[in-house]
This record gives sequence, C-alpha cells and structure tokens, in this order.
Amino acid sequence: MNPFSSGTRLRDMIRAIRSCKTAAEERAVVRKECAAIRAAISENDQDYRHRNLAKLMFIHMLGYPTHFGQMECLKLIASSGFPEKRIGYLGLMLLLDERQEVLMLVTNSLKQDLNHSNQYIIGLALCALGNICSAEMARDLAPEVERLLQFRDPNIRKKAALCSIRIIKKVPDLAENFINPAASLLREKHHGVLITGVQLCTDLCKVSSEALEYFREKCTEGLVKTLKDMANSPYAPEYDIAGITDPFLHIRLLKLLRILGQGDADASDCMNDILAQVATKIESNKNAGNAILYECVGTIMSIEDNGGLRVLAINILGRFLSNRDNNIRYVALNMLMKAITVDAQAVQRHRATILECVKDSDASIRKKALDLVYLLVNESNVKPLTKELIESLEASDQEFKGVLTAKICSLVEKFSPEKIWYIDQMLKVLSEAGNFVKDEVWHALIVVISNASDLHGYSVRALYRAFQTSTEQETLVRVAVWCIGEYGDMLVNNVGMLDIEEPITVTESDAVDALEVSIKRLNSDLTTKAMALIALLKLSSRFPSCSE
Amino acid sequence: PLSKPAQTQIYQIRFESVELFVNEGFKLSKYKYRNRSAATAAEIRIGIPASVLSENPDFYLDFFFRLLSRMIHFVLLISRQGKVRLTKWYSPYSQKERTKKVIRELGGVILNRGPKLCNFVDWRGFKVVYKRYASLYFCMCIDQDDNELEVLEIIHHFVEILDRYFGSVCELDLIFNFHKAYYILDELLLAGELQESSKKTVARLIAAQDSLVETAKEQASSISNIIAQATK
Repeated sequence: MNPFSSGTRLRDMIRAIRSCKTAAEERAVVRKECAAIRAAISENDQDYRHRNLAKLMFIHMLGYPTHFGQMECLKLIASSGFPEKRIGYLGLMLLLDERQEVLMLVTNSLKQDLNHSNQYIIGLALCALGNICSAEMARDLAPEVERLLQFRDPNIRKKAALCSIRIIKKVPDLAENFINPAASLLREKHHGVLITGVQLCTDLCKVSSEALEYFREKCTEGLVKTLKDMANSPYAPEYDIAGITDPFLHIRLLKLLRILGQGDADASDCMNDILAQVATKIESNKNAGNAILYECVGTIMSIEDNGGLRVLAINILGRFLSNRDNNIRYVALNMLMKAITVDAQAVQRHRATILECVKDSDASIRKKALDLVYLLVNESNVKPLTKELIESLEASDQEFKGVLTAKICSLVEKFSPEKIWYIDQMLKVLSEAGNFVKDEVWHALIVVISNASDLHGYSVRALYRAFQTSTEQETLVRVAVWCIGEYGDMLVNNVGMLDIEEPITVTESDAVDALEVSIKRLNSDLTTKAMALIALLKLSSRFPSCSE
Repeated sequence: PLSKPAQTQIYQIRFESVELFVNEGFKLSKYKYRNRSAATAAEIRIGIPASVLSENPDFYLDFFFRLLSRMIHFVLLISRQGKVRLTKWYSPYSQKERTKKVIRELGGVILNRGPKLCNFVDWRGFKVVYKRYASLYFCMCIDQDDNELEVLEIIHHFVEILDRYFGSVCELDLIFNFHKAYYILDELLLAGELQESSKKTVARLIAAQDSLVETAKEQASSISNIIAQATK
C-alpha cells in the first residue's frame, strides 16, 4: 500500500519524517504529503479533513509553508461536530496570524459559536478570539464577549475575562463597557474567575483612567479582604503550591493593589496591613513563596510611602541578595535598581553584598550587579567602590572585562575627587585591562596628566614602574611612552617627589631602553611605535649623552 | 486602533496612555518612554516621520503592542538539538520574525547557557524565562518589569499538568501528540495570561473535551453510520 496516500495516519507520517536521515529526505517526504493533502483539499475531501489538518500543523512546525491549508481551518470550524471545530480552531491559531485577511472570514462562525448550546464550543471560540483576533474582529464581537462575562459556567466566565483583555488592548475605546462586568467578577469565589477577573481589571486600569478611578474607589477594600482570606486560608489541596494557597492569585491581587495604591494615599493606607502580613508571614524557602514576596516588595515600593513597610521590603531584598539561589539574587538586584529611586540610603546599606555579586560566576548576575553598583556611586563612596571594582577586574573573564572596564573608567572620570587619585585608578585599570580601555579614555588621561604640573614627576615615575610589569597592555605602554618622552628628565632626576613616593633610580639609558623595548616588542602596533619614536626624539634633545 | 484626524497628518495609537504622534519634521527617534514602570503611564510622545509610519503602520502597531503589553508574549518549547516542539504566539510577530528572530536567535542563546546559571535571559529588551526538563527547554517571554519567579511557577504548572495527562510525560509524547499539548496549553493560558490555577480543573476540562471527541468517534463508527457509508 502506498504510504503516502491521503490515508496516511498522523502517527505514521510523523514516524516517516523522523526516520529521515537527511534534510533532503525529509523535504521529499513532506513534499509528497503536501501534494496528497493538496489533492484532497481540491477534491473537497470530507473524511480526512481532520487528519490532514493535523498533518499540516506538524509540517508547519517543521518550518515548511502551509498557507494552502488555511481555508481548511475555516471549513472545519464551520462543521457542526465538536472534534472538527476543536482541530479547526487549533489550526487557525497555529497556521494564521492576525495579519491574514482570511482571518476575517471566521468572524461569522465565531459569532455563532459564541452563542452555541455546547459550552465547550463557546470555550473554543473564546480561546481563538482571545489569542489572535484583529481589531475589527474585536470590535464586532465585543458585545458577545461582554455578555459571556456573566455566563452560568465559571470556566466560560474566566475565558471571557481574558478574551476581553485582548479586546480592550486592540480597541481601547471599548474599555468603558467592561468596567462594570469586570468589577462583579471580583466578588466571585471561583479561583479561575478571580485570577482572570483581577487580571482584566488590572489591564482596564492601564487603558482607562475612568476604570482606574472606579476600581480604586469601589473595589480596593474588597480586594484587600480577598487577599486576606487567601493569606489566612487553611490547607486547600487543589490550589496548594509549596504550602501556600494559590500563589498565582496572591500575585495577581498584589499586582492590582499596586496599581490602585499608586499615587493615592487612602488606597495605600487600606492595604498596609495585608502587605505587612504577606511580607512577614510568607515562607521564602520555595520559589512560589519567593515569587509572592517579590511581588509584594514591588507593590510596597510603588504605593505611597509607609516608612515601616519600605524598611521591611528592603530587608527582604537584602535577604534575597544573600540567597544561594541564582534566580533569587538576580531578582533582588533587579528590584534594588528600582528601589534606588525610592530609598537610595537603604540600598546603599547592602553595598557589600552587591559588590560580591559583581564577582559572581553567573554572567546575568554580574551584569545586573554592575549596573546597580554604577547607580550607587556618589562622591562619598566612590573611593571604596572603585577599589572593589578594580579588584573584581582582576578576577573577571574576558567577556566581562570590557563592560567592567568601561564602567570603572566612566565612574572614575565622573566622581574623581582629586587628580592624583584619578591617575592612580587609571593606572591600575590600564595595568589590568588596558586593552579594553577606549581611545577617548586614555587620551583624556594624558590631557589630565599634562594639565597637572605638580603631578608630572609622580605620573611618569608611576607609569615607569607599571610599565616594567605590565607590558602586554597596549594602552598602558602608549601612555607610559608618552610620559617618558615628555617628562623623562623628571624621571631620571626624581624631580617633584611627593611625600608618598619612594625614590626610584632610573638612568637616562634606562629610560631610552624602555622606549626601545616599546618599539621592538612584538605586540606593538603602529600607534605605539609611532608614539615611542616621537618620545625618543623628545628625549634625544634632553639626554644629549644618549643620542645614539 | 489607528485613527487619522482629517486635517493634519497625525496618527494616533492609544494604548496604556501612550500616544504615538506623527508630525512633519520630527526626526525618527527610537522609542523613548518615561516612567515605564508606572501603572498609569503618563502620555509619552514619540516622533516618527509620517512617511515612515504610513509605509508600514502594521509594523509600528505590532511593535508598540509588544512593547507596551505586559503579558506572556510567546511560549516556545525546543529540544536540546534546537527542534521546535511547540510555539504559541500571544503578541503579533510576523512569520519571518518568528523563525529568524525568535526561534533561531533566542533558541541559540538559550541552548548555549550553562547548566548552573539563573533561569532568566535578557533578550532584545524583553526577558525570557526558561527551564529545562529532561531534553526540553520550556521558554516564556515576558517584559523586563514582570515577575520572573512567577513565570517559573507557571512553566512548572504546565509541566505538571502535562505529566499527569500523559503519565510521566517525555519528549516523544509531545511530538506524537502535539495537538493535545496545545489543547492543554489553551486551558492554561489565554491572551498571554494565566487562565486557571487548579491542575485538577484543567485536567477535568481536558477530559470532558476528550470524551466529547470519543463519543463523536463512536457515533461515526456506529451501525447506522456504517450502513449509511455502505449505501453511499
């Protein structure tokens, strides 16, 4: 029997495709199948329409074009049977996107199915509408969905709630119609309806200020009570995750309360108690608990200030920071970045832990920690922070060194209290990661040195010392070479010694040797060699004895 | 919705109080927005030349929808070899964007992540939460400001439901029964949001629908139908 007639079962086709050894083999199999399906479509085959669509969906997931099958979805959706509609709607969602004009043709079927006597068919229609409808379809069918928000079955109400979210995003003008029905959903007991109802209200608030005011005034107390009931609820096996009843509902309620409390003192007051309760009582040894705490902290940070709560929140973040779980630390760093705008002092207290994170083995964490440190730097803490960052530079890998170097240079330039400190830090950076330092940065260093006449001697001596040990750093070599050329006489004669310096013996020929080495060293590029030559020229006029 | 007032060339999209104004002479600037984490975002004006917008209004509508919606933008299941086992798109992405940008690029990033790292990746201004279960990576794309720990729970919720349905689910189950995996996902998420927190309820709903399909099959192979077929 020909395995590729339109009679191939889905399972057999999948097996045939998986047993192909090469891409060419696979293409051949797919081509045969598509040809058979195309033939069946043009013959308006009824018997295998269902199976053919399933095959098409699999082929689509492999990445092959399947637009010839789009109309089949419509035919299946228009059938009267549940199995046909089920696969038809799935095909629709998979093979089409809202940009296809074909999608509009489904509007009528959708309208009928939203009024079907079989609630599972209503569910299929709501699902498709909520996932891929266009703005026009949303406008056409909004009244049906609105009506279904009050349907007798809670599973339909919850689907209608989420479908409404897509509708108001596509057609914000319709938001006002949904305010009242959404508010009634908040008074229900069914968890599915509650989480979707709360989500609908949250999105309504974002689209319509009228909705925000309405929910704030009429629903805040009720929501606080619902959250209290959840937090105090006894063990409920159906909704329990890690010892907490329905963490998802907890989180959604916290999200909505955040929006309602933001910018409004009364609403914020109303929720203080429950926020404190959640923040202190929820166990944080499992991810579910931490997810709730994280959301709670976010809410506390956004609503109107209550000193005690804020402290509580930052403490939670501090604990998160020292958690061994990478996810928790990542999340803490994220939240702390937002907390800076709200309470910079409190975040500063956790500086030490944050600095530890800059040395973390996880690249995502290192990057977040560095971003956070950057935001924490001010005139009073720039010295210790820079010291720590430079230490991290020594331990970091190539990929991170570039980013870290750039940030350190930027900080040092921005906050430098004295020139000598700036020069010292830049020297350390150049010695450790000179190859990552950008041109503008080492040019700026040279400018600063040349403008600081009292530091000329210090600079050239320090650079000479550094040069002895770190010749692989190109930019260090360049700056050193420039300084030696400019201030060679100070180097040799120990001119302008500062109290903190130790004397160094450098003869004229030592200085010249250093420049020679720079020219001859293997890694020196043209810029370095050119600079060294110019420096030699400068020295030749100052050190007449070494002219050869 | 894109509405065009009669007199001047101003296009307006209102979503989350972001108004996209197009004016002659404005320079194209990358999207800039103030105070994005505020619940009621202040009006944000972004200038884009009228010619640019009218060339491709769909692109901008899609772009801003994705940018401004807080939701799960897409779900992606890929194997360790990079084979796609399931994709679901809740935000507008063109077919090309889906294959090139998301599947290939993001797939590459995630498959290259080492084992002990955190489950979050910053990608193109969004955040992708991923978790590996045996040979499959479950990925969900959310916004920078969203709760990534919760999404980890949502992924786990999905996996547990799959596990109960298939009885110790493995990748092969999801390959040969991909449509069933989609049916389950459609009871879990809708419009990029969580639909049901009770695994029991999801299982019940799926069972009820499966049984409707069984009943229809039985009817189709019932005697009367066989007779009808034979006499066709």
